[in-house]
Amino acid sequence: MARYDRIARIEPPPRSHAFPAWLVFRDLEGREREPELSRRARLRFLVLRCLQRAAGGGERRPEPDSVAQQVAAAQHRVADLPAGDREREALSRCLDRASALTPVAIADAALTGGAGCERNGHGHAAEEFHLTALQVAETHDLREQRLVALLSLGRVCGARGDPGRARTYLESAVALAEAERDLGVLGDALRELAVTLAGAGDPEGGRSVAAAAGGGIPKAYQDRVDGLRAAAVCALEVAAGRLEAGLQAGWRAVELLSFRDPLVSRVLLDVASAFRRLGLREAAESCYRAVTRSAAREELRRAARIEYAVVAAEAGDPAAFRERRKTLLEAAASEDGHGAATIQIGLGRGAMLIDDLDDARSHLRLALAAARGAGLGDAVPVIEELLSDLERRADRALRVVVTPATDGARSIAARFASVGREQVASV
Amino acid sequence: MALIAALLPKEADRLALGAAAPGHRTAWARNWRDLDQLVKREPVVAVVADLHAERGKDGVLRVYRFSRRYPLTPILVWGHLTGRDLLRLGKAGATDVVLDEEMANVGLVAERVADATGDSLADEVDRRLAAVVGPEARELVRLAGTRIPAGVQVPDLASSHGVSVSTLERRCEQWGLPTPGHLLLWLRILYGLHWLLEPGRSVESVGRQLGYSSGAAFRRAIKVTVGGRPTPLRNRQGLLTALDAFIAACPGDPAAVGEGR
Repeated sequence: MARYDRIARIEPPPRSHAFPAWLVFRDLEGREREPELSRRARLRFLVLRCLQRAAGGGERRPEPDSVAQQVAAAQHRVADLPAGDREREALSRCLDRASALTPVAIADAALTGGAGCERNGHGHAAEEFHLTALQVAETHDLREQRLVALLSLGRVCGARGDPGRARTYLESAVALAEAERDLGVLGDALRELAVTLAGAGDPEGGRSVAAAAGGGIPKAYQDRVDGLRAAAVCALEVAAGRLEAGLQAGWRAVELLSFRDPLVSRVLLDVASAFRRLGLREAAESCYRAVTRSAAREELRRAARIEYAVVAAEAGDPAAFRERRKTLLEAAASEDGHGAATIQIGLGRGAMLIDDLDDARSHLRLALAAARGAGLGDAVPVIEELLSDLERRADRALRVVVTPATDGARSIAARFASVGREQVASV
Repeated sequence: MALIAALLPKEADRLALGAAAPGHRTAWARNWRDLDQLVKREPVVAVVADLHAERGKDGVLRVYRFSRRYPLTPILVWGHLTGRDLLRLGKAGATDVVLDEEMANVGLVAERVADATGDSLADEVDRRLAAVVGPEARELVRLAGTRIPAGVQVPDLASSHGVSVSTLERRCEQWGLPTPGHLLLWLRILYGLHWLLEPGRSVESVGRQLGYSSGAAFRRAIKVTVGGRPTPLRNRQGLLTALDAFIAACPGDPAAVGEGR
């Protein structure tokens, strides 16, 4: 065999020109010789092929026995993953649902599979799962599943740096969420759309979209709709670097939305990021504490705990960082590969910021082992880059560039700190 | 009954393909080179190949070369395929795959073979004919089309339709189709031009596959039916021109078209 690979140089075909579910293998590009990644991509492919075949209708309706045989063969392969592996459980659940052969079960299974891939950083696989769900949902008019698929596709495309497609999906999600009066999805879709537009250099477009959203929602929900709009504007302004405007919008969102609204945790994380860039550490910490206590989603709570530690390192407070690291390491022990890798990356960053290079190296190596063991898609290159920065003593990129805070920003910081205290006390 | 060219060295794989595609004929290739020659020589509609058929050869690269030479001939890749193999196969232009854990699933393999042996030209002809003739006539043309690669003649067509040659002639007239002989002539030309869209095929090889004594005889047939020489017709536009000419050559049956709708 030739020492170089001629096939590697070929441009990947569009989804419509490749065989069904091939898209999942694009997550291997550039790393196709890593056996764990390759094995897991193949498992996702097997599962997707079961889902897509089970979804076939009309003339393409397959024999149920044959689908059952295909599902059993895929289950057998999935069972090769280590016991307790999150991906093994997720794929196995997908296959169980697919064997029900009902459109709702298949769409739900595809959405579950997509969410798992997205979490593990396999963007192309997530896209293929969500596209499968979308297709089934559109064919059988499953509005709830269609809404979730559109939102997820928008998020996945945005994260992969494809703002054009992200915008298309998210605009559809916003329109459908309005029509269905699903304010939870509307808030998420609007926030994603605003951030996508800001990232694509069109913050004005994002502001217009946020201002126009929710027009069809009854007046009785006006406060909540205004809160969702404000949350979107907050994320957009922070992403665009207009920090004080972001804080004002964030404060408005917190005032209008209930603390139980899942979107509030995202607003607090956005606002905390702005506070850090304004050098307002206490306000940022207050927001992180609030998210740690109250966020419904584990990912958000974990992100807040990690940043709560890193912000101490960033402020040059090694004692606080080490104290918080201890808590985080206790939490890491019960996490799966993804959670453990995420925590170790955060601790590696923090240790680099306080020039504790041995600890930083140790955390990053643990992160690398966890990421490789769990076959994570996007974490490995990030960790390798951090390790390379560490060896070059190039931690400047990690340091936040602080802009002096204005009186207005300080006043909002004081309000957030008080809300954080009240909210923490109420939990 | 379509002709499939297969490169499957293992007996178990051959049996699995045979069980999944009982209605098709199979021509067995000994190696990748032989597979290429088979497709060039015979009226093959699809290819099934074990990626690891030849030790030491990069099967994916062979698939890539094949799909460049025969872009309209589906290639179904078979065997123990890793994630890396599958990534590369998608780039190389494989039409679909059958993984080792799927081979025992006869229903699944049959579906993949059916997809690969689907006739896109027959669909295109049928779509155009829907505007000029009724459903019975379209059914006859589809049946004739599927048997062109097998070298169907008028008596075979009549017999497979369950009627005598003279009855078939009368029906063609009633249904607004050309005579059976002309119908088969047109279909041979259309299939010939369709195959000639593939760079790996020559006028000589396609002429022989269609039952002409030589490439020159095939050229003459094209000149008589479509007009002009085949080489300028070796593109998508040439095939569309020939399709238009075929539809124009059908007398048509407006009443049956109305009924068919």
